[in-house]
Amino acid sequence: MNTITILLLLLGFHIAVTERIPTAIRSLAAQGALLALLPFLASPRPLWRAAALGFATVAVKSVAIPAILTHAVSRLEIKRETESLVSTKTSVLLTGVLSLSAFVACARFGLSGQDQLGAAAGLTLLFSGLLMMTTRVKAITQVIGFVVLENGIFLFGASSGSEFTLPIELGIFLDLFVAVFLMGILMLKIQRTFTHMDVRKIHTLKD
Amino acid sequence: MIPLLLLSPVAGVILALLARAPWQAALGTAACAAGLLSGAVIQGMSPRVAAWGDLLRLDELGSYFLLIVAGIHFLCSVSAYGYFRRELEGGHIGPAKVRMYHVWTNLFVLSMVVVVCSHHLALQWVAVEATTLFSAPLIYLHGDRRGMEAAWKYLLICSVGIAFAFLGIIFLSRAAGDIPLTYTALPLAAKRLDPRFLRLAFLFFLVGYGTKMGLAPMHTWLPDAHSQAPGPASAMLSGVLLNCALLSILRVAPAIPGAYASPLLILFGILSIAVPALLVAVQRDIKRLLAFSSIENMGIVVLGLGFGGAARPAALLHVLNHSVAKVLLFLVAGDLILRFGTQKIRHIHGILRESPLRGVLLFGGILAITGSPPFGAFWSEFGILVGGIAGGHLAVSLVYLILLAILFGSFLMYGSDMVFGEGVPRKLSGPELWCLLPACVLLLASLWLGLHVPSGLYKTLERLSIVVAFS
Repeated sequence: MNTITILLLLLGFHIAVTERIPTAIRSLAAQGALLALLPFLASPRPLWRAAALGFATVAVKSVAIPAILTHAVSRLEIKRETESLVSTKTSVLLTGVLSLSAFVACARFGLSGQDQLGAAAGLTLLFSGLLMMTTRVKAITQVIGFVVLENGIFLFGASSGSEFTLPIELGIFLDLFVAVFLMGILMLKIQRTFTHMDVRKIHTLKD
Repeated sequence: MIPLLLLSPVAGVILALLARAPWQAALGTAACAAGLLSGAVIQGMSPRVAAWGDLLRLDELGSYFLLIVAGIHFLCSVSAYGYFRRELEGGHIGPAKVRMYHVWTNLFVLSMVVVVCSHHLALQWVAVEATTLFSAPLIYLHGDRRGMEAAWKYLLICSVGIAFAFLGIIFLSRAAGDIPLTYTALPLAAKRLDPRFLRLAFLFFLVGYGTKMGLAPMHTWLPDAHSQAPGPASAMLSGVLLNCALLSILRVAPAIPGAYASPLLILFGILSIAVPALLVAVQRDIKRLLAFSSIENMGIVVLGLGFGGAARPAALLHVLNHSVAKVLLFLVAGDLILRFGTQKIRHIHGILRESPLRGVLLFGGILAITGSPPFGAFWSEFGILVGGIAGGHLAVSLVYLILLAILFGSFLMYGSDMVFGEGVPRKLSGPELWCLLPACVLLLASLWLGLHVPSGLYKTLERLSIVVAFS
């Protein structure tokens, strides 16, 4: 379990600091595959339930979502750099600070359950996802940030031992999939009418 | 009963997909909405709680919200027929898009029915997220730049907000241990739950679902989304969707210690009234104006819940009053925007002279939403004030009163500019019956709620206010 958590965390850092979008998408897919192992480790019985959850995780997080994002990158013909409002150095530093604060928060408030590392790592991913959503310029990197945030919550939930009946768990995956799907459609549509994918320029609506 | 309630929007989706012409899709949606409404009324009158498995359960609180959803959906579906007929005539929109409007609207209503019927809080979360997803396509229905901007913001901000609410659910399940996360089991076990995790859970629920409810400072997406959707869709977003997010907070309330929850609710409530009070004065767009008023009214409801005591039933009543008056205004505004060809307030004036019915509806709606005496919202806003003073929150009540006065002044100013005023820029065509009939019904409903709160409703609200009280 700890190995998986550490790998997830490293992939999260990689997504947060990488400057190339396709690499970030690949790491995101790898995160999905690792998350699929969690149901088997956290609650292996009954096996069919863990298998269903694992299958849903792989299908949504490491096949469908990366496919949507890759399709968007190729269709949009956007430059492959992530473009951030802050420099790479700053974002490395900020991610480090945020992960530290996640670990401190977990220890200080006793948030973590049986799996301390998992809870802290989940919060770290959540924070770094939020950071990506707020500092990145391109719409697609905001979506990647959103998925990282969701992965963080997933890890946090798994390490806190929260589980629901299968229909609800599958509903959560379906929601995530539809959300990213709609974001993908919107990105393509925005591209067609705006001819740019820079969220700094999305500001026609204001008071 | 619950399978039937779920079936009617599903039937609406199928009918919309099968329809050959826009009017057929509209008729299908309206018929299914009528079915949903009659189901909701039958369930509302029956004393028995409807349940379907462990996951779905419709109690009295759910019924109250379901009645609002079904009633507003029915009126909006009638109005949508007239609205889109005008849009089609004007060539602003194609028949394929009208069909998609009906498909998405029915799916959107389906997800809201699941929200109000959810017994399990995680299922409710799934349904609330689904409401975001199904309503986002309504916002960019016209496919223009502004609509897409608004939909993008809506999708991203609300999804992140709801993700925080899920964190709340995780904390709740930590606090609950083996107790199922259902709204019946949690309050019974409230005393045994770990208070630390309960507090964290409530905080995340409030921030997460509060984003969806449009509470300040998480409201930034709301004026964009509500102003860009087509008229009837804006009415649904503002009139019923915000209530669904509120219900999600209410469901967890009985498990939370009041001493912790009340100050938070009062803080978010007063902030959500203050932000519109400051920003309404600089609005130029009629639908943005109405959207800010939604933020304000959600703030009033949350403030009332925070005050507790006598303010709690008033807050629940305000949910109904706000829905009635706001949907009325959005329907009239949608019609006016088609007539004048603009959303800019300064280009809309002299309505009363040209079309007395529209003038009366708009001005009546503005009086109703600001809580002027002959209308329903007066009693609920007054009840919240009384509850606040009785609860010892004198300073907050005074601020609340001042902010309401500012909002009343701003709205009256805009209202009189649009309704009275001189000069007619273009000839208004005759009243579009299907657009204005639902608005007339709503104006009468608001007036009726103001002149005489039915005693049955009052008793129900008293009972419900005990159900949603903090532990």
